[in-house]
Amino acid sequence: MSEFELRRQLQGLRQERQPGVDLWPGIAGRIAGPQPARLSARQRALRTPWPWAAAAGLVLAIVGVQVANRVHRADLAERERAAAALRVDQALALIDASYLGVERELSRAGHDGPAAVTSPTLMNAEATLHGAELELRRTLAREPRAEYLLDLLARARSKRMSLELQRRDA
Amino acid sequence: MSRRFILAPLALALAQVAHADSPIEKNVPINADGRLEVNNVRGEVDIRTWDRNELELRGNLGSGSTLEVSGSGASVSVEVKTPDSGRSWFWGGNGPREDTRLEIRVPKGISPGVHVVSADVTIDGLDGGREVEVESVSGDIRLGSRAQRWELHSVSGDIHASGSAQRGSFETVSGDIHAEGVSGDISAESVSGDAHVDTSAPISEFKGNSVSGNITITGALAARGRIKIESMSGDVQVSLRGEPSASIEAETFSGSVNSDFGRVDREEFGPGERLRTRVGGGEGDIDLKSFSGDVTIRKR
Repeated sequence: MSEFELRRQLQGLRQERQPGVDLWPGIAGRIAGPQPARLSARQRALRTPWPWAAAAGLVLAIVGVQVANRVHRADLAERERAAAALRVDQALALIDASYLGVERELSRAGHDGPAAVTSPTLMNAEATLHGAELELRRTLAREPRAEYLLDLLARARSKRMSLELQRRDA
Repeated sequence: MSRRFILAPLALALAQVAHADSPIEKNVPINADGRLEVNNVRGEVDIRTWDRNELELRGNLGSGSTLEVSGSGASVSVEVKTPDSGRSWFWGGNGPREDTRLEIRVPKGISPGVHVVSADVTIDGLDGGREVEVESVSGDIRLGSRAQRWELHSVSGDIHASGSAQRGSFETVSGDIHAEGVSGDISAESVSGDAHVDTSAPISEFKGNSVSGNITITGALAARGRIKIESMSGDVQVSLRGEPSASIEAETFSGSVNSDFGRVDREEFGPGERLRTRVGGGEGDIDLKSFSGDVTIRKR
């Protein structure tokens, strides 16, 4: 191929042309990705992370304090219950001891063994009192904080003892 | 047929006549404010009043029992005795075989003390005496009187008291208590029986306790008056008349607290409800507890 022909073919190739408008901003925009919508001040505030972190921290702190407080109160309640159980045990031992003391005194006085009980009324009364005592003991074992039941138990025991004394004196 | 066989049934019949009830007829002088003691194991004791300073005793003496009347004036004792006097009537002794009915008329100002086992006791019309005391095992007690003090105790018999008294003490094991008209210092104690007390005048102090019986009291609270009731499984109800002035505390472990005063809180740890409040000037004190029964405080 002569130089002349070569030049002619080169002239036949696509020629540079300048676009009518500046295309670069569009290209730059596409490279940068889609433009976010314009945000309001509130939306911008919501998108700011630190207040959320602070609120979450506060909530966590409040919940933490409440849980700790609850655990503390539960612990106190349990300790109160344990202390009440100890007091109830001591009081029951005292009540039993006083009853046993009377029993021993009766035995020493020669009233050995219970006499035959013939009155159904009093047998029923003794059964009622005995049942009441057992129920009170069960309840106190279940919930020693109901210490006032000790008074009821002592009264029932005293009444039963008085019937017993009447019976033995008969 | 020999004479022995003819006389034997006749002797038996005569013996039965001798053991039949014998009428009682006895009059004894007694002071208008005298003391009367009555002991009767079984049957009935009925005490009424009249306008004479004299005790009139009527009724029927049960077979095998004897009647002993002693004293006069300031103190008179009426005692029905059984042949088996060395043993208690109900614990092992034979006791009377038949009922004895005692109908007694007395001046209205006397103070009686009545002790029975299975006899019902009725006392009516007394007015102005110091006290009325009745002890019973299974007999019911019915009292209609005005006295300074009532003291009524029973094991399984019911107690019904009306009239007025400045102090009242009621005690049973399984019998119910119904008292109206008592005021001032009152105590009601039972194991399984219910207690209903309605007061005529403001309550200075009421103490009630039961194991399984319900306790109900209705009345006004005196200034600095106290109401204290404790029960294991019985319901407790207090109905307050007028405008109470008291600190109120009520609690139950497994029942519920219902109140016209204050706010009821549930226990945080464990079951139960509690009320702590103050009404009026908070001068008086109301303390109500039931383990598994309901506690109710109402304004009437």
